Amino acid sequence: MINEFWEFIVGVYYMAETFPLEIFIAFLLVINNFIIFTFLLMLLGFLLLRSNLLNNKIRNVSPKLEVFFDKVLRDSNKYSDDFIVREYHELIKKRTSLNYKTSIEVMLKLKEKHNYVEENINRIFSVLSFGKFLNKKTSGLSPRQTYKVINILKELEISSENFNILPLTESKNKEISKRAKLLYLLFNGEKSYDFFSAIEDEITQWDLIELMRSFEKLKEKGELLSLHTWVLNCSNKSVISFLIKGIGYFNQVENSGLIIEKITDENEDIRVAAIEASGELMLREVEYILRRRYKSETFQCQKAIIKSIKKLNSGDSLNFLEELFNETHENEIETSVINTIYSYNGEGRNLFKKLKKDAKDSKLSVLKHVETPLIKFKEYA
Amino acid sequence: MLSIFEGFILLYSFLLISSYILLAVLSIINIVRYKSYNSETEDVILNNSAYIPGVSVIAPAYNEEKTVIANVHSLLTLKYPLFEVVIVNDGSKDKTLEKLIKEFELVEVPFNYVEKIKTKPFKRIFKSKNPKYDILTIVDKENGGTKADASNAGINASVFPYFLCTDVDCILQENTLTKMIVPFLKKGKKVVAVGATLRMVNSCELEGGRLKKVKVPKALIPRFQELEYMRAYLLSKFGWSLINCVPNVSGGLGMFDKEIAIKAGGYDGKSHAEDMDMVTRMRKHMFDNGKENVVDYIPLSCCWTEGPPDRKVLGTQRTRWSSGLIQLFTDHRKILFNPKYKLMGLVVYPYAFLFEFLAPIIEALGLFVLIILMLFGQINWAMAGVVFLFSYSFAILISLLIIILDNVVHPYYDSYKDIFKLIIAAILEPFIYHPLIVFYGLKGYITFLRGKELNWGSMTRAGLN
Repeated sequence: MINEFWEFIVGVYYMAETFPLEIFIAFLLVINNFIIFTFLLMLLGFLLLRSNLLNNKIRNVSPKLEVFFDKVLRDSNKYSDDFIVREYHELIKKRTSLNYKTSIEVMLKLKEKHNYVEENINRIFSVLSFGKFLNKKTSGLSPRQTYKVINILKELEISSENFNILPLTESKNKEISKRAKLLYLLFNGEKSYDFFSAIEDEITQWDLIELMRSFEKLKEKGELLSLHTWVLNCSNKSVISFLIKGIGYFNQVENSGLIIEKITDENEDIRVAAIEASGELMLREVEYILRRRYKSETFQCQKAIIKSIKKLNSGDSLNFLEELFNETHENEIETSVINTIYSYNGEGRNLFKKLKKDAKDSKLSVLKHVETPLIKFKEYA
Repeated sequence: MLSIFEGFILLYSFLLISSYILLAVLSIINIVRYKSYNSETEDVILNNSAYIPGVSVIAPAYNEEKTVIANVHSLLTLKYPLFEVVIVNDGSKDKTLEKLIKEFELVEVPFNYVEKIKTKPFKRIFKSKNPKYDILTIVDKENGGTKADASNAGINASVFPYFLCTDVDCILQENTLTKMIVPFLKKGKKVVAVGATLRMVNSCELEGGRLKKVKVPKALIPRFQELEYMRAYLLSKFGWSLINCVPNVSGGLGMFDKEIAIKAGGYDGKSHAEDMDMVTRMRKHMFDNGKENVVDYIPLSCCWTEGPPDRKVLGTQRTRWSSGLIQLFTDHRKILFNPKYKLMGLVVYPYAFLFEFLAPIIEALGLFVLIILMLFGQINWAMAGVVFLFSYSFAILISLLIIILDNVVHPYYDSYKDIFKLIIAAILEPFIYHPLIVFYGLKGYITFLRGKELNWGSMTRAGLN
């Protein structure tokens, strides 16, 4: 059968060789396509088979692992190391890479849902040699694996003794270096903050979200330091702006002086961050400065000023807001001002009524918009 | 004369095949990169952040009474910490608005609607009395004749800095917003738009407005379109995105920076290729102001839409699209080969002009020459046969590669039967579907040149169960 097929192929080839050169070349290209097609078909079959097998395995073992990990992560002290190892191996049967991967994924899922004690996670990780497994994964050259391992450690909030993170903070791969720094920040106290002085690029919104998350975790552990030192030591404007936002968000009132100073910074982003932080920190002494600076400020800063005045909610700025509402033709500012007046209650509501009585057309439309409770997200308009 | 035509066709085919190979390589590199540096934990991070930007989901509706309720419910259940759903009723003649009012307990409110982009007259805005639907806004306006006009009204009524434009017949994946916002957050202010893959919902199993099981469409026309979409998104758009040459972000699913969209004038109310037109104008605005800009793509399938169930509906859809394409090249002819617009002027537009706009014309011309040569007995049948076999096998190869890449990105189909159906579609497509596409493409050009008006791009819906 194979011989006959082979003879057929050779026969076709000899026949094709009698064709003119251009037809012969085209013929070879067709044969080439046929070979690639066969290969791709086999690859597709293999991929499907593999993914079905893996899914079945994961589907079988995951629920059991979930119950097991939840049990040992809740009350780690109840169980000895031997018991944990024995029970785990009974569940997974074989120590395969897939089983380890599935186990770690299950732990990640559980961590999202429950707030387990950090030591318990660390202990299970160490007893079941997950650290060694992850270290093996990063010993190769694949940046993809390294990136994933850092992500796992960061999400589980654990420091593995098998895994030296410091060299990775200097990685040429920017993604890995960023991730490694975030992980390092979680466990290495004051010295890790020095990274802020070394950042050259702009802090993106994504960086901000991740850094704030790391700070939140540090705050939960009571390890978040006062950020003013790094604001003073840093020359990257985007980092300074981020740190100022951090001061406001984490209510670091001890840095009020610095915030007041930065309200007049020459960089617009820094000023916006400082103005918003002054509202977060409830610095009522700043309200007058904000009002005085309003007219000479940029549009972004003006929006930030109204936002801060709303946060301060002192009632001192009613005249300023009324004047502003009557003068401006910028819809965003009008809405924001009326929102602030409306949020003042008492005197604010009286002013609101007065403005509504006198307002016409677009101004009246803004007032009606703000007072309608069914309309949501007014502060974003 | 004939040899010049032969030479041209040879060169054209060579360039086309080379571009497919190049796109396949770019797409593979980009998929590996995406899979390496994006993980599921991103969703968790975003869902728990106070610094996440809000997104307005805008879906225009025109005569969508069959599907509108189920689909609005589906949009309301998206998973994202800060979003609103804006449905624009573009003067529907059926009971779309009445059904919405009843189902979502809507009442008219004094919403401060500011016309940042000019549209046909806006009538009123409804909000729900039921707190369960407090993120829903219904805009009622006069019919503007195009989806573009309705989308602009949605942008005017939206409140967040980013908006996702979709069709009201689309079923979105729960995490669409978290997945699509990531490029904006990671790449900063220069990202103007982000797209993701669209698929056919025709034979999928749905439950509570959500996809329960993804299946390849049973009917042949939507099945061909499924394969065509997979090729267009995974091979073409995602491949091009590696070198920032994405030609357009689909009208069915695209996320945009609102400020830039408004500055660029929003969608062109007269355009029938409003998606490519919008991206072009946003990028043009950025280039004209000396700003760097990026149009990005994610390889995930986030949106399932109802494909044309038969030839007639396919014809209406394709005639409109190709009419839009010729309109686009007429409106933006200055961009073509213009170095001021960098890769958009030197790669994106020339490529779209050569291989999308000219393709049906060249194919029709080739067919015409073939018939003439047959009549005069001038055909070298051996050569013609081998060339046909090569082109045919290459087309199947590309489709097969895409089926594999799709499986690598995410194994949406777990049954061999579904994959087999797609392979059969790839084998039959050049004989059944492709000639139809060429025919409707030419019909669209003729319709445009004759100055015939085309109306709203809605198609007959079978309705989803």
